[in-house]
Amino acid sequence: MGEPFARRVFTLADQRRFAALSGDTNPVHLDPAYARRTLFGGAIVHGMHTLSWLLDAWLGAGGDVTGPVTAEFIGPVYLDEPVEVRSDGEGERLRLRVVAAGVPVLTVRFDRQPTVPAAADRTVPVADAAAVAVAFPHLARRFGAPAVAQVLAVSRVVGMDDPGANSILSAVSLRFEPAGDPLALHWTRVRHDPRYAVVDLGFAGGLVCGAVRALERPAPVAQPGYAALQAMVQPDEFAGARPLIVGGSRGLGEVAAKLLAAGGAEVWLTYRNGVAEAERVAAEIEAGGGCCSIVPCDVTGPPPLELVALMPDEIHYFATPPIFARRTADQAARFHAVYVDGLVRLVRAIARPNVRFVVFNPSSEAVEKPVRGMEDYAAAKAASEQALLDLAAGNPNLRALNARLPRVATDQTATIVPVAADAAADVLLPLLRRVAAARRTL
Amino acid sequence: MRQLNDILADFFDLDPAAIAEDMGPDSVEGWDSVKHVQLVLALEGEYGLTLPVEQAMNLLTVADIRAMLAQHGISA
Repeated sequence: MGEPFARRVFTLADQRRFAALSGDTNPVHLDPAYARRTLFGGAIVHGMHTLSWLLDAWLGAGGDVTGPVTAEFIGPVYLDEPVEVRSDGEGERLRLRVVAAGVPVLTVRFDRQPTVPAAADRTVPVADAAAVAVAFPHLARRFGAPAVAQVLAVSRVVGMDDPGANSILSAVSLRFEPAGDPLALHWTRVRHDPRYAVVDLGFAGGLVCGAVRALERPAPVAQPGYAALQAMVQPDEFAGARPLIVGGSRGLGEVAAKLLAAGGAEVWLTYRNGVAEAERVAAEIEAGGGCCSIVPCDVTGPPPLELVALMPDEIHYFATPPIFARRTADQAARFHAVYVDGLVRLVRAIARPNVRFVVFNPSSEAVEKPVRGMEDYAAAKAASEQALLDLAAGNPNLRALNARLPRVATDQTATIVPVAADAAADVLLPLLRRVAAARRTL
Repeated sequence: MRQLNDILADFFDLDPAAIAEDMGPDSVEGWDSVKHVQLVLALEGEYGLTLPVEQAMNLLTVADIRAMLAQHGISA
């Protein structure tokens, strides 16, 4: 690939401006707390924003757009991460690529004619031409601001209308038309393939026409409610326990907190970003007659004093970074920092000569059943098992319980193409009972 | 009807002559699960097929794809 001809980061302020221009206010682009529950694990840039910026930068650097624009969105661009654009090849072989963290995330070519529908019966309004010309000056000069406004509005169709809230932009193929309705983008749904959650859209009748492929993104996974989990446990089977659930605002930690509280335990749960979600879990438990308190904790930093003073008799360590996010060079270090270093730091901070406790480390079947692309994850989980055994070997007051869990249905494991996953409560309850049995022998 | 190698070359931006029978998601850059779905849809459209999801997701090499096409009486 050639030298980069443009670089930047996209900030939340940039995203808000693009949302106003495009009409696409999907929270995956604007609300980091919401976005972390999507399969991206964080807020991402509108694909049409990345594409429009790329084209504008290309024109600004002296390049030209001589044919239809075909863009393939390979991976997300996250807010505040540096990205750059490189060109490669010439003529028909010309490719422009946006690269983030060393990985190509968007490829653009100009050598393919888009498939255009015969008619498009739905419309969305487009932004004011003057505002578009300020935001994308080179693109507006080359194709006219009203046409560029229609390109931006593609984002709104996908992100707000079809597939809408839970969508991923996958590919765009557009050409600029010499004449057409300047006031609105005209679109229609061409096909929906529920097998693969694919939606194809077509555009015609305006200043841009062509096709867009979008995917339906899995919605955040809702874990069972407190009442349903109460029915699975005896009301006093965890009575007297003071468990600390590390990473309990959602997913496995949320289910463990509810099960333990339903069994009579006095639960503390920690959260890093999801304060609203942690509060909701605690409120649900309290409303059901259980006992649950919350405390913030980022396991990659020093444990907060409040937490160190708790003296729990069980530690359930569910803290995790995004597992299936983009593969990057520092991925092994990211997993290790949470699964190994965070665990060791927390256990050391809580350990006292007179405090006896069990540590439950939910490891993964991936340790023994290799999964392609999951090597770094599996290695960090294997290291966490050994680290916990080492801690236990040096501390007679500590009981270690490593358990290799199967793939469980949570936000972390949600995929576009369905993959089998077990229900969290069925997997966890027998393990929570083993932790309780170990606690009683302390 | 386009040849399979031409479709793959176009799809993964490769030289058609560089397509090898043992190529698959492990060896071709960008052949991830989403791209695989796109490829399956492209093949279905090109050859007029509808594949069961299970079978489609188990096409792990170029040879697998060619064998699947042969099963449908397509020599490509």
